[in-house]
Amino acid sequence: MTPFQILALTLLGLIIVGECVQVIRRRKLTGFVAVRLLVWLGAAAAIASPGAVQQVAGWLGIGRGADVVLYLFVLAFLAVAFYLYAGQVRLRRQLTEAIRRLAVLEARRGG
Amino acid sequence: MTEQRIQEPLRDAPARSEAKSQPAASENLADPAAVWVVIPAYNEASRIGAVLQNLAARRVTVVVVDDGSRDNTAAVALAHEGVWVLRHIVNLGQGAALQTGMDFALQNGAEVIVTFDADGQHDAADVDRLIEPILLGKADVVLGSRFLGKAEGIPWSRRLLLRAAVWFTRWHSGLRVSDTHNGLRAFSRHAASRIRITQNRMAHASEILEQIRANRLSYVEVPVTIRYSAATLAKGQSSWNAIRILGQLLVGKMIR
Repeated sequence: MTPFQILALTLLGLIIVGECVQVIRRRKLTGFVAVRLLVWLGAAAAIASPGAVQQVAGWLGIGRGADVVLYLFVLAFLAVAFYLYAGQVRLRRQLTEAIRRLAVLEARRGG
Repeated sequence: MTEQRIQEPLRDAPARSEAKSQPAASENLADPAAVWVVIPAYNEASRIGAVLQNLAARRVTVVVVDDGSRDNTAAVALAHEGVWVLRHIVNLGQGAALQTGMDFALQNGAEVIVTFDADGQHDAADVDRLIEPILLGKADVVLGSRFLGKAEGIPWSRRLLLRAAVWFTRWHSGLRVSDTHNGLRAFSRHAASRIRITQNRMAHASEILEQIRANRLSYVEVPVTIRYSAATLAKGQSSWNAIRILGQLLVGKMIR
């Protein structure tokens, strides 16, 4: 194992343990946490066994393992960007409602 | 109102029973509280005075929603007797301002709500024409159409763009309308309480049409006059904004 693998796997191991502890404490596994856990596990598997990524690339007809990782990153980036944008839109709607209520409460009549 | 020019509502958008039983609104017409005119305004201090002056002769209650203006739009509006002024502490957009004004009007017992622009493009005389089908129980929503009426001084590029918007709307919402982004509209109380504008900015015009369809509200178009001037064109939407509006509309539909 290379020093990078040791370092990265230690870090990922701690994150995975932390996530599991949270799930056990809350006694609830949400879809979002499950996806996040899968991402950490996938990353750990890819770092621990680069050959496996190469093999997956072969199955998918991509050729290089590095390209599989790159494509996954692009897809993940798009998903995260949309997730964050949706959060921002929801927040803006809440802010709009708050400003609207304030405007109605402070209505004034001319003359 | 020239009846022949009113576009018939869609066959599958029946006039609602509530809209048909509108004599209460008709009876209330003597009461200025029955008809509310909602004016969203952003940095319109120089023009809103004339707009309010023109509306003052009509038996309507006016509410100006100052959408976080940096000038003294609110102060100018408050100088007019009986005009309600609501103020967004930050600029949210025309769609948000319209919804604020509609909420306020509904809370105060409005039977008919008319939306009207603050920049002087609209003609106050059109208000009567807009509210008539609602008071007669013929429709839940009345849409002003500059293409059935007059569009004075409209540049050819804007005309072309609006025509394209009409085709898009017909495809997207299924509504057979001749003008899609006209701020001059009227809603019955029933319609106004069913429609909820979530698009804060200019995509609200398409969203309103979409909600007319979704809520199966009956509608008619009436001819109105829109007067373009160099000042209103300079402040108005650029043609490129059409692409942004399209994006906002599509993304907005995906987020609940």
